[in-house]
Amino acid sequence: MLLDGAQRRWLIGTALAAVIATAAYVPYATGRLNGPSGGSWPGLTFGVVGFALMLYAGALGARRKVPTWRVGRATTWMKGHLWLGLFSYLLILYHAGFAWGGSLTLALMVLFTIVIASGIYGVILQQFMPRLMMDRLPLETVYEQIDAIVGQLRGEADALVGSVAGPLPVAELTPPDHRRGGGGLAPGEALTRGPRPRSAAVLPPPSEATPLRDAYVREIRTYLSLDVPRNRRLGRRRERDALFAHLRTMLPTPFHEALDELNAICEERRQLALQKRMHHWLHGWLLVHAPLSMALLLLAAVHAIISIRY
Amino acid sequence: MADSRYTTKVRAKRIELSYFRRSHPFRRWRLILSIAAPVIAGGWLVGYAAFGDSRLYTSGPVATAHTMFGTRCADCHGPASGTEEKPGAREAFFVRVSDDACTACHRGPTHHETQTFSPACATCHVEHKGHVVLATLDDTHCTQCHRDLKTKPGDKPMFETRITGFTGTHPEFAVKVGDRRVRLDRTTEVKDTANIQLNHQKHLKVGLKGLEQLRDLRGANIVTQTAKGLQLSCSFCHETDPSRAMIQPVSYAKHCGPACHELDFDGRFQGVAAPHDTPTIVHAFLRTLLIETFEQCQSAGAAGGAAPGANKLRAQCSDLGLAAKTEAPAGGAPAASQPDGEEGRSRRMLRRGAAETKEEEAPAPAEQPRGRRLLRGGAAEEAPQAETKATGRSPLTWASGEITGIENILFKQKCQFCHVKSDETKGPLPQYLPTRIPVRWLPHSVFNHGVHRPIQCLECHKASTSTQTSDVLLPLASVCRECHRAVRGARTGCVECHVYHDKSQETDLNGRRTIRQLADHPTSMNQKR
Repeated sequence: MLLDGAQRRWLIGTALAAVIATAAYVPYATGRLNGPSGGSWPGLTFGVVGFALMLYAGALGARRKVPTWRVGRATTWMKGHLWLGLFSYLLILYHAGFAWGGSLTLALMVLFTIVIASGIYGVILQQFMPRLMMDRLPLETVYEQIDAIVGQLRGEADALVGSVAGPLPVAELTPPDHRRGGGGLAPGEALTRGPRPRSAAVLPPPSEATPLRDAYVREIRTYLSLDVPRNRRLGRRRERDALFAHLRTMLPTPFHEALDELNAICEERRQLALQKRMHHWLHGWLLVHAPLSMALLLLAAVHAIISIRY
Repeated sequence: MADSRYTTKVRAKRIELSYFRRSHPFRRWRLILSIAAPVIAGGWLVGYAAFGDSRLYTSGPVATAHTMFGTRCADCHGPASGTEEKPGAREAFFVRVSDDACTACHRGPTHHETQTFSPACATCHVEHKGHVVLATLDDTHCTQCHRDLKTKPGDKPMFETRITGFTGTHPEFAVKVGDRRVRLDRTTEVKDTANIQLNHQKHLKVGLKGLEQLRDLRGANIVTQTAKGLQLSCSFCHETDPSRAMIQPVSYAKHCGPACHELDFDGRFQGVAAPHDTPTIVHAFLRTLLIETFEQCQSAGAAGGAAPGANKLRAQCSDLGLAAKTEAPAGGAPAASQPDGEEGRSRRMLRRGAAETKEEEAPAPAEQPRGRRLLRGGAAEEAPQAETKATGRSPLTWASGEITGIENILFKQKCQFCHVKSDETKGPLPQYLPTRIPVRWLPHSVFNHGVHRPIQCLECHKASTSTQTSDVLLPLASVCRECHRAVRGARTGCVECHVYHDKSQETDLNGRRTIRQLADHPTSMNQKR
């Protein structure tokens, strides 16, 4: 979520609530005989309100699971999750009197701190990562489909090189027609613009395409696999252009169009690899934030019951 | 470049419409972790519960003194009193700490009878705050009452009613003079009413007579070597107890007698000193001594010069005027029951020493003569002895004549040098007032001399200028505040000097429990008790 002018009301509201909470906490903490304590009435109040806000923040996950629920707009929920979740941390700190306490409370505070920190980290990433992806990834696609599309790209490349350089000496050749009939395509329907049909009469004999075939099998095809090492030189645009420029000098002109297409496939592959990495950066914190939030809510509930009992 | 290959529409067609229905590793892992994390957290709780370990739920470690009970919540947390028999749902759920749990071991007597309320134990002594001393409390615990002290209706406050802290409005220290408390800064009113005559200034004089002898007798640390000579150390007389906290009472036998104020009374009795005891005991001692000396002189005269030390005895007898006028008994030898001169003296001295040691431990009643030796000198045995010495003067007559002069010297010059004679004397012997030297000057506070031992005694106690017994040498609060100040100073908390509960009324825990009882259920033992 982008922190823009639309958040101003939430920001002001949260700041105001924080000031009020602090104004209540300071005289309580300084004036109480034994210092602030979670078991005192003010401490309990901070704890109850803080826990309620934590529950609200945690309910965002449920709200997302059932988007059809008419319980407010998703953006409002997200803003509440963000600001009230942050405010709840302050309240819980006031509840605890800035002390770690025993094992359970220590675990709670550590979990809460990680959850809040990961959430803030996620918000910060949200401020620039999407824009960065938009700039750097013109061929961005659906994250979950990246592997499928990489398979398609490899099939296209196999077909392309096979059509100009003859059969490829590889064990598993991706069938050229192995394309998904997803999206708007009917099952079995080919892409509107697939690899161009080439006339064997126009092209020079495959023996002259040996450098292309060798380069493809040795380097380019590996780059089009699912798991691409980061340090592959085809992943760096300048080195990739240099490779293709070199191949261009070695191959007759009729092969140059195929070379350009192969270069475009490699570029798409590079962007997909980058998109995957950036997606992991952008959403990876959720693997920490969401599970630990669940654990936090469970332990907080137990803590509340046990503390009231003792 | 790539844009030229496919249009957006073409790229969109690459995507499978139902891709979101299938699980993707990223979403799958998020789901797995979102389930696993609470499960692990729950397992953590269940694991502790399975082993019956409730440490998990503590809000912090218990105090050092309670460490061994820290793992068993039920030792302190339990249903409130009176609900154990038939607890309701509410009582069964809530297991708060009641005062009963604390008073199982600590009685915690009321601070003051006139106080308007008694806080619960946990109000001041807050557990689960880590390894702290529970009695170390913040001043606010004290000043919540003492900043505006109220008492029960009808009771008048005995103390200053507005105290906010030692550095603030703490009143000057007060000592008891007679029946009232007088502050130390009221110099004209504050007096030491002890019945003893002591001049501290004289005792601290450099080059005091007998200090070399005292140093040889008691070691070098009892005197201070100054540029002008030796000076008596304060610690010679004012010794601390083994804990080094309190100053022990001054004892004549340990501090005054040796080498300085010996109760020698007559040059004819070299090396003999009267016991530091009541006049009756002293009188009995002298009478016995004189009679024995008389008898020994008689024996010596009869025995001739054979016995060792006989010359010395003969000389003493001569000095006492006993040598020429006594006659030897018929047998020509001293009676078997009569002790040898030197041996008898040694024994007598030993007994004297024993008597003085005993004096330190538990002073005997004044009217009761102590030991066989003194009994022999008592009136019950005087008559038979007098009858046995028919020749010349009787020992009783001789002793009665001598004792008046000796007692005159001893009582007036020795005893009254320090002690105050009572005006209400009954009988022939003088009576002296009890010394009434306060053991503790400030009973409402505690002071640890050991902690303050790097500081010279005279820094706080102005003894070097004190010439009168009535001088109270306690330091003013301002002296304490030179170190105990709010900024960059020693601690100024109330609990540094004051104790809330009367320690003399606390529960005696000595030897009440077995190891098993203490380790298993310390508080249940109290209920049985």
